[in-house]
Amino acid sequence: MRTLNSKGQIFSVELIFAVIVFLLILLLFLNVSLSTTQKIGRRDSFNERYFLADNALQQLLWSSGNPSNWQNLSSLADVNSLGLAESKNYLSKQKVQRLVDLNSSSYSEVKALLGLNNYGMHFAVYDFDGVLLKEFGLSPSSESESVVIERFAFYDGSIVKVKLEAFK
Amino acid sequence: MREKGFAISLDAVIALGLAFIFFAAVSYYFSFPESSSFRSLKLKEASFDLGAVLEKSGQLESAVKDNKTIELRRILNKTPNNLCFQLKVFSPASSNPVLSVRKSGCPAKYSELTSIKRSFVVLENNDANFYWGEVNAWNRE
Repeated sequence: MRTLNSKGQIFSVELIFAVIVFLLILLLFLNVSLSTTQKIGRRDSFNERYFLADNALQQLLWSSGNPSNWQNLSSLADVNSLGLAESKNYLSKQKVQRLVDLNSSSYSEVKALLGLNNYGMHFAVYDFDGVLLKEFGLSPSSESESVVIERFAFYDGSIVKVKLEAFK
Repeated sequence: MREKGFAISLDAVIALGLAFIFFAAVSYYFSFPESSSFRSLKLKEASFDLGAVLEKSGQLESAVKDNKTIELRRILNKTPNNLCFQLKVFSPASSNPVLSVRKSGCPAKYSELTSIKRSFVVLENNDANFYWGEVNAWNRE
């Protein structure tokens, strides 16, 4: 005759074994799940920075700004958008110089006009040999998470590389 | 009763294993910070930019007039290392390119190719002739 007692013992051993296996798998699952969530967060953050930096540089390279003579205005209060182009990929020397001159006084306003309020930015023009010609903005620290967009343009009679770095 | 219970446990283990593999695959996918859509965007922007600056700097016109590709190749060779370019110039009179130049060290091996065309005018013998440049871009593999 099988007793209730022995039946219960077998069941308990199986149950304990099953619970241990289940907990191990659950722990692995939670670990992978947490790690995936963090990676998705980082990817989202990267995507947002990339999208904003790419848009900002596109605006600078393709648009002359609004108003198009913004470089002659004494302040950025009446400027709706910034652009450095005389025509697409053809940079105006005066507009580039004006942007550089605004670095010390209007860094935040320029960032806002380019849609980069929540990020730091560094904009630079290099010749094709990598010599820095003009720059605007702040350099990121070594711990910053940054995105660099590089494009080509025509500036002051030469083909140049234009870089925009957005960082947090 | 025991066999039935074992079968159910096995089902559960397989299901959890599959779920684990799924999450591992998702985790692996997201470990790469740059998505393929950004790589495609970079290629398109780079090929457009190159076509635009070569046309606006007069390099395309000079290359056709002088029938030389040295300067074009010099410019292509100074583009970022991870990008490869090939430039072809066509005249309306022929389907074969009148000029063709490829960045040094860039074999035509690619998984994705971007191509843009850009027309330009060359003044020859008091006549204005239309040409177009085709810029092909791909990522170095």
